Amino acid sequence: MKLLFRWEGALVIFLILELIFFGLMNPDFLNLTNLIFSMNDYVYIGLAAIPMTYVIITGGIDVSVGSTIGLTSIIIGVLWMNGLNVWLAVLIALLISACAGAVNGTVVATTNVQPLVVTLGTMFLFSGIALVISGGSSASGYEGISGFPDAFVQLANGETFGLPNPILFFFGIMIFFAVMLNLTRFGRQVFLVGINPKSARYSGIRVKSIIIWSYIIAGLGGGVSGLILTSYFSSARSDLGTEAVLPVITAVVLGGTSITGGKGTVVGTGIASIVIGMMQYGLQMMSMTSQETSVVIGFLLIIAVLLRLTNWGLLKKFHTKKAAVKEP
Amino acid sequence: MDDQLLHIRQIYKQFAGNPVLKGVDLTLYKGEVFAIVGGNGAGKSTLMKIITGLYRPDQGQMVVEGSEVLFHQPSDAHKHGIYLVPQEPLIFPNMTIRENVTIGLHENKAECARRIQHYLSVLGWNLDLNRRGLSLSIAEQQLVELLRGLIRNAKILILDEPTSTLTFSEINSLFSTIKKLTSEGLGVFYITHRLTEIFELADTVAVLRDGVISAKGPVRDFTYEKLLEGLMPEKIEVLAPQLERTEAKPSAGQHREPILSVKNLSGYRFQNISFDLYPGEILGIAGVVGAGRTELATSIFGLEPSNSGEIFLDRESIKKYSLRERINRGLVYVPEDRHQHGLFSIASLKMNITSTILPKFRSLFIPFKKEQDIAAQAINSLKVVTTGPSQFISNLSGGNQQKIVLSKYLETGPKVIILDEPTRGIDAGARGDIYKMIDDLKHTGLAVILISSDTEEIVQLSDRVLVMHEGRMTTTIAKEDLTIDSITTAAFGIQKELKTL
Repeated sequence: MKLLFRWEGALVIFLILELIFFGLMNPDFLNLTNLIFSMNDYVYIGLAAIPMTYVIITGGIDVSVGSTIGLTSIIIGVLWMNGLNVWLAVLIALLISACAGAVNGTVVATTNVQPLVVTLGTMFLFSGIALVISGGSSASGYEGISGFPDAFVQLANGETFGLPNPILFFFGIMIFFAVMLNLTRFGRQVFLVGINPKSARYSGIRVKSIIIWSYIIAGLGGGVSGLILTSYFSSARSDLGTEAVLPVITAVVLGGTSITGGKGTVVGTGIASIVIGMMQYGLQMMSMTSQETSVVIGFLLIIAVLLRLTNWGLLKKFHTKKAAVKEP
Repeated sequence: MDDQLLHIRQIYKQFAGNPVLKGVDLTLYKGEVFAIVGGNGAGKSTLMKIITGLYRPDQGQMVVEGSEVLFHQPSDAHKHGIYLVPQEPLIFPNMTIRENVTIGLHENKAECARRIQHYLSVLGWNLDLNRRGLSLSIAEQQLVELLRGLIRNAKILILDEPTSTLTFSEINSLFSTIKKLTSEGLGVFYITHRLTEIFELADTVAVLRDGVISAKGPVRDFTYEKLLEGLMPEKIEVLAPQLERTEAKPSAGQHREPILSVKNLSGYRFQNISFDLYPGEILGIAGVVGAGRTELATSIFGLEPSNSGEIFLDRESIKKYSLRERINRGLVYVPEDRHQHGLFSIASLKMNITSTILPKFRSLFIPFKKEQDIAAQAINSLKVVTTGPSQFISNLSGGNQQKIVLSKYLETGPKVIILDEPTRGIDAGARGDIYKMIDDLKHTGLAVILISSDTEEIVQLSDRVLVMHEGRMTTTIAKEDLTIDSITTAAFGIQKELKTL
């Protein structure tokens, strides 16, 4: 556990260095209001990445999350356009995102097909459904459905206690999922299944059910992310989130979660998604194109993973040595 | 001596100070089927791994066709025409048979294909080379492994228990294949647990016991009795600390209700098993590797389905219950493979210990204080050497890891505990602790099923022993008749009059 805190500490230090670097390049960057409100642009990554941490800890992956974002968005739009109360539409859309997760989880848990393949399939499935729904209600994919009521738009554009709502959402969800992962029996079982699914089965843990619930949570994460994006742009589009998959998984891995499962923290994912977002924002302010930004982020991820792998062994040795000295 | 294919002289090998081979001599001639038998841990696998270059001997010489050799890796052995067909064939499921056979060969494809066809016609096999690995039965996979060896110009084939997963007709066709191959001048090492096969197939036999060859010679000079004699330990060395065993009270068991009752249970690799288990009793299950003991145990526990038969726990049929429900009702199975099925390696001791009792906490949140106390108490009572409940289990020694695995199942408060090879790969000290623990459990009224390949362990601990051979119960031996001899005889599937002393 100490090691994981070290990694989170390293991320925070990296975040501070990042702020200093961009501040030196462009003093406007450090304007506090700008900084905080810039988070609105990328908070959706964290909202999807935090629940995704659960899936990756169980040893799986969910690449369909981007499609779930678009699916949720278009369902909210279409239901509302057809006269439903917008909050009821939100509720139904979130339930459907959870169902999407349940589909992923059930297939992964009950077949031997790799999670990557399963969710790659459902990625096309969900975005296809989203397109069909969007086409069927004669809303063009690119313009989307707009004109939402003010209360709905304020969800992601309003402020509470002087802070933008999405940021409060972000921290709320981070705390909720961190508590669930580290303090509850469910969270413990997620870890045990990720460390060794066979031992978990031999210990009487309902492995399949834990896996299914993890995917439901990840699906719901995509749903919440889609909801906030829809409200933020005040426009429902089926192609929202198509580019979210890679940043989301990057945030989880950069946050210290092992892609092979068994290890990871929600707080790490949260910090890492801020690191990535700040990086995108800062590079944009240095007038880099989004393609150029991708190059830097990809590079960063590889370096981070390499660093983490090498450090781990060394720290472990150090840790055991220290422990051995402490206890004669 | 032109016919001599392989000659090994005075091979010694030890692992971590533990001698496994203590001076083995063997000679294999052209056209000979050389059978090697021995109990579990006699050194058969180690010997074969040395011959195929996976291990290097500590001492000794190997001569292949007159020239002395030293193998560094299996490909060196392949170059000298030695090929091992493993017990579980290694087939790439998504490749065709042709690709599976020629993998790693740099020769002309057409030439390879021609040679494969040649062997197929010589051996009279009908095999479509374009089929994929995953569509093959175990017997066909073995043929592919044989082809792999032949195409590499193997002169010496090593077959490691090739018949353990085959049906009778498949065995017959395998035997005729082996006979054809040897008539072409190949030499075959044949490792087996089935003594009948030796008399049917082999020309020469060697019995390996505790790292030495205890008997060797032409098969025609042997009888079952003589083979068995070679298999029995000369003198019983008790490596493990002796327990002061308090004798079970004569009334114990016999008049009470059985806690676990298995009736005509059949499943994958075991048939028609019936027994009763009483509280305060240790029932040993003996047999050679592959006798179906683990399969039986995992079926009782609910990990694997069983086909027919009934399991009663406390007079209640439990076949309909899930594994979790069986644990809740007091039946646990401590797995054989600690690393694969028992441990959560990158987790703390307490996380490991409480992994079986999470539902018992009932609350949404984990009661961390209580968890710490439970773990500390378990560590204390089992004398686990550790820095504390928060230490990672991967930093513990094998014996201590095994204690943690045991304690995680004991925390569930079982009535019946099935121990599968509880002392495999652990040192003598921890072994003594575990023996003591098993005996203590018995005296608190637990019913214990002890599966072990260590016959001495079985004799030392059990009140009654059920012996399995090829998935069937050969016999049940009562405490009075319990000897290493009686168990070994039954484990090799030989019906012999048991003399009651």
